[in-house]
Amino acid sequence: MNVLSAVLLLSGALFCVLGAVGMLRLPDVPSRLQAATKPQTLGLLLILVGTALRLPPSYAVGLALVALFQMLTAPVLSQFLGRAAYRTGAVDESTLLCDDLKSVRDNDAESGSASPGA
Amino acid sequence: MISTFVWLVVVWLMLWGSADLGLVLLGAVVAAGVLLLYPLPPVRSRVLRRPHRLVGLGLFLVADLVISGIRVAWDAARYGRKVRAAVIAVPVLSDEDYVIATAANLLSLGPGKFVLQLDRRERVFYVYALGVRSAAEVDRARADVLGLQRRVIKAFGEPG
Amino acid sequence: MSVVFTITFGLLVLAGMLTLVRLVRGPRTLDRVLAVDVLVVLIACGVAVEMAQSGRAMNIALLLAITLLGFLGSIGAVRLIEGRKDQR
Repeated sequence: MNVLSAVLLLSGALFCVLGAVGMLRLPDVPSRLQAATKPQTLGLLLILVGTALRLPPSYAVGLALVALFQMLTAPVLSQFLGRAAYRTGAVDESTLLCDDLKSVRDNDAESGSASPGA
Repeated sequence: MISTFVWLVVVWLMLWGSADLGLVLLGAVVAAGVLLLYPLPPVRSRVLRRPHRLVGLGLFLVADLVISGIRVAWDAARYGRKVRAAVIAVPVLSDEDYVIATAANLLSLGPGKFVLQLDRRERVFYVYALGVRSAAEVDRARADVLGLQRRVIKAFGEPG
Repeated sequence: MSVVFTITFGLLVLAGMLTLVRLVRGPRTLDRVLAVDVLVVLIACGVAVEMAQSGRAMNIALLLAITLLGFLGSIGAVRLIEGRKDQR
């Protein structure tokens, strides 16, 4: 039990570090969003499981609630942030292999909403 | 409505970490208050209709979370500033709001992808995918998104 | 086991310091919002590890408050940025 818990805690913290490295190295907001928040969420989940293993079982319920909230809120935030990044032109277009949304976006630009890259 | 009420009471009890009669009653009052203050549109939900599919979806998500977590971290460490991404248009397979919303959220939970925009009328997801370096990988990312949608539909979507 | 906790805390602090660099450098406000959100999750991780170490579960409510407030704060900040005219 202790060994499993130790492995979970360590790998969780490791994912947090990997996320932070991605946060530093990647070139634009959406790629940082991917590399930072996602491994971070995974890291928190691993750490929560590792913590639950070391506490009396009745506390596992509360920790499960924390994990559930994190899993519900993380995707919402990443969609909000990602969309805001795209609309404010924070996407580095040189990183994009293809952009299927570009034609749609150009139509939007005429109606006066976001016009990134201008 | 009833299921939302029960769910809120359960969350309340989880918050306190215990369950005696007083707490259940207090939780019922709070849940009723929340439902009255913040009414939600009724959603026909069949989340629990096929539990085995739901468990399968859960296991798939855990595996996906770990595998793509490692892949994204590797991409970030290896390519750094030279990382490549793509914005891909993927058809939406379902016509039910909560299936689409669930698929979009599960997609955005896993590392590597998130839904940038949803065109509900044209039924298109615009998905940002990180670590895509060739046309073949664009196709694979698109296939992944379609596969996840099929799993969600199988778990609690309308058959057909 | 105490070595494990030391290493875990060390890794979390390292992650926090790397994230602080991004917070300072920016360049966009969105980068900073992202960095703050990551810091909040790291703090939650730290609180959880502390609970594992001490064996006391008093901080579960704190953990819930941190994660939920972090989420609400980030959403608010993103909405503010998106609504701004100068888009920077």
